[in-house]
Amino acid sequence: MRDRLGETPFEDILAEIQAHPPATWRKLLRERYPDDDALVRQALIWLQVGHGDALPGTAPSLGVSGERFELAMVLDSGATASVWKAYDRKLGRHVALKVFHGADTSMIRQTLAEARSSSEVISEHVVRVHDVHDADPPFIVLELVGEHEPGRTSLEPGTSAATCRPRDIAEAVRWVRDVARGVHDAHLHDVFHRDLKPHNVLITPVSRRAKIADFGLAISAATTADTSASPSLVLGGTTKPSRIAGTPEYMAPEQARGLPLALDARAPEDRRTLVAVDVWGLGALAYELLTSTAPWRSDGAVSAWEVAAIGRPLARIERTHDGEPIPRRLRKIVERALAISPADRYASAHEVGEELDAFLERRPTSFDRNAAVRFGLWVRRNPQLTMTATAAVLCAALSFAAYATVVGLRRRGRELAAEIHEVEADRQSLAAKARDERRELDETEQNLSAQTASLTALRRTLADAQLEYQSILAAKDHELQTADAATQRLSDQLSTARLDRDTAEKARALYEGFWTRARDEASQATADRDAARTERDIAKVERDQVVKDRDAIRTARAQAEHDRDAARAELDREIATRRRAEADLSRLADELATLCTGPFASPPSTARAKTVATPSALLPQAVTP
Amino acid sequence: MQRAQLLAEDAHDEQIALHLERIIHRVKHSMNYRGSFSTRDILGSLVARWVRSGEWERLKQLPPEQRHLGESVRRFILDRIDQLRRRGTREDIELTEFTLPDEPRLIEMVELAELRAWVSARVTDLADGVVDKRVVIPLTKAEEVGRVMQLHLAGQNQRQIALQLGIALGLVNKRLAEGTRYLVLLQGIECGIG
Repeated sequence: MRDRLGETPFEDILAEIQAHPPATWRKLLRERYPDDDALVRQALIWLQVGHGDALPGTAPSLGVSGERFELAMVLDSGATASVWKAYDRKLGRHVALKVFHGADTSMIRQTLAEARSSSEVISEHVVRVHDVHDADPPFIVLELVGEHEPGRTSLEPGTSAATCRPRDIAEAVRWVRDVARGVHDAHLHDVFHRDLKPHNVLITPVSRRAKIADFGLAISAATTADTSASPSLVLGGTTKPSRIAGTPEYMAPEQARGLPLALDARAPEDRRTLVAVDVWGLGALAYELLTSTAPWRSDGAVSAWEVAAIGRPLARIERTHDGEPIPRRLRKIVERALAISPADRYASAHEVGEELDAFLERRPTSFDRNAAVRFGLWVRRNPQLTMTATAAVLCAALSFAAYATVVGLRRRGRELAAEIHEVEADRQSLAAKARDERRELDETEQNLSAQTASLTALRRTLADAQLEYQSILAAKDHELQTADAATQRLSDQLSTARLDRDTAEKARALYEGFWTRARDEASQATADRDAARTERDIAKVERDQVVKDRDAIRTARAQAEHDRDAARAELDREIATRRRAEADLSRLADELATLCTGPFASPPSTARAKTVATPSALLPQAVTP
Repeated sequence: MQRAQLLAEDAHDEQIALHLERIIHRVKHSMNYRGSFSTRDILGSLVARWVRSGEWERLKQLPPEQRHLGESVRRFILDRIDQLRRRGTREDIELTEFTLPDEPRLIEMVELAELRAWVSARVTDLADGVVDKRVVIPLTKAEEVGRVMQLHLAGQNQRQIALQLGIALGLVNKRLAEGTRYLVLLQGIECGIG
């Protein structure tokens, strides 16, 4: 691209063009790149975006107010508004203008609500509102948070705590304390911020004091809840419609789950809710300033808002981002402000400010109940007094010690003199004793010389006795060895005898085992024999019973045969009777036929003749034997 | 209107300038992750998740009268809140009722969610050193721009980004401005005005 656009970096070319009035940008670009329309179009878009707003000549038009306010430079730019450093020609002072993008009804309503909320608060820790304009475009005239740097005439504007970080822990605590005081002042005027975060805290450049800005989400008695266009969300089982407002990374858990749409800044219950939200905001601000990390963070799968709504307790903060350990007393204050349950937090922003003040001034906080800790804090708070008192105590102690030492030394001197006297007396008596001892020693020496001669003779006798003793000892040793051999032999015999005895013992045990098993088997055979006898007796009884049953069956069979014979005889009789009846019937039929064939007989019907021809049909069926 | 005056050579240019103004506003809004949220933004973030779930791609295949966009989004949001409730220990995270904006506004939210996804994808491209070939403005150090933008979208402020990448605070601001300009330009090209 550098070849195509020339040797000068394109960035520098754009910067050069940007320095000219925007109305001339197109012309300048076309002059430089006459054959490249696409490049001109893209460069124009490039110049319009972002910091183009901050350049002279590109400031928003303020309408009739433009004559009064001279816009100097952009201080901040967001999605809905941009903040400008401006000069108020009428009052001859520098101010900050928050100019909103767009001029629809909701934007003007938001502008007025924000201006009303913040104008009600009078505090040295809150950015003051001087004026508000609800025309096109709507804007708020704010106090310019700025200071003159030493040796310079220009007013240096402050920066937000998000970009201007505290130099150390104490400065971070001072900022949060200042903000806590400002928040408390706002609460006294029934204004609740609800969006405390480093971005909404301005730091003065020289004295480095903190001021609260941006009351865009504040609730006050002067503002009314706009429920018309806002979508609502109800979490937490309540039936009241809720609205979520704030910055997810810094939201109180209950704020993330939604606060009721209609909150009354003067109703005690609602006040408690709103105070708790701002106390959380102070804790979140302290958390971020100390650790450079927001309390809630997205982990990719879960957004920061969702993490806030889940509301798990935060991890303990042990060290700052730079690795400096955070004092335990301060950590406890921050942790209480960030308690998940609103009831566990500080009851007011004032309490937070007081606690932080106590921490800064090394006074006891509500957590410092231990007397030793309190004394330690007093010592650290009053180092000169402590040093003076310590020095006085040390001097007194030294003086007393010196006096005691002198008195002791004198007494010791007297004691030593007495001791020397006693020692001299002892020495003289000991010298006399020594002389007596020497004399006794000489006498003893003479006695010893006489006894030495007798001892020499005695030693000679003793040597002879020793030789004799050694010969006796050798003879005894020989006898002892002989006895040992005999003992060994006896021992071997004893071992053999023991082995024989063990073998006999085993055989006896084996025999006893056989004998026991034989006895058991004999007992079992006897028992089996008795059982067989019993079974035999039972079989005999059963056989007798079977014989009896057989006889009874035989008798019954004879009776049945007798009955069968009787029945057969009866059947024969019946057959005979039937045959007789058939014969009678045949005879009667013949007679009837004879009668029918007479001169007075009518011709016989075929059916009747047929009936008469088969008389057996009138009889019962033959009984089969 | 300021930009409209700057770009307007004729009525057509004025329309283009207004379009560009809208694009700038939308791109900046989609990148403003650290700003204050309202219920609408929360719903917007949930709608963005819904778009990422692929449901919107599926619905786009259907005729408009069969899409039932609101119902699908509503069901998704209820499921998501239910997941949250199961994930946390608090029983009171239970969505009992909520109102969605009307269909046109919902579609606007869906478009914004798509834009967020688009921004995220382009930023990833930048971090990988991939610059769209249609952009003729040279982008120096595209990878660094992409990395800074990624961290910004992840919710980190400029100071944190500078500390993490070991670069100056001013350079972070410059890279953010370059990235924003690149995205707006690319959107302009896609809309036919770049």
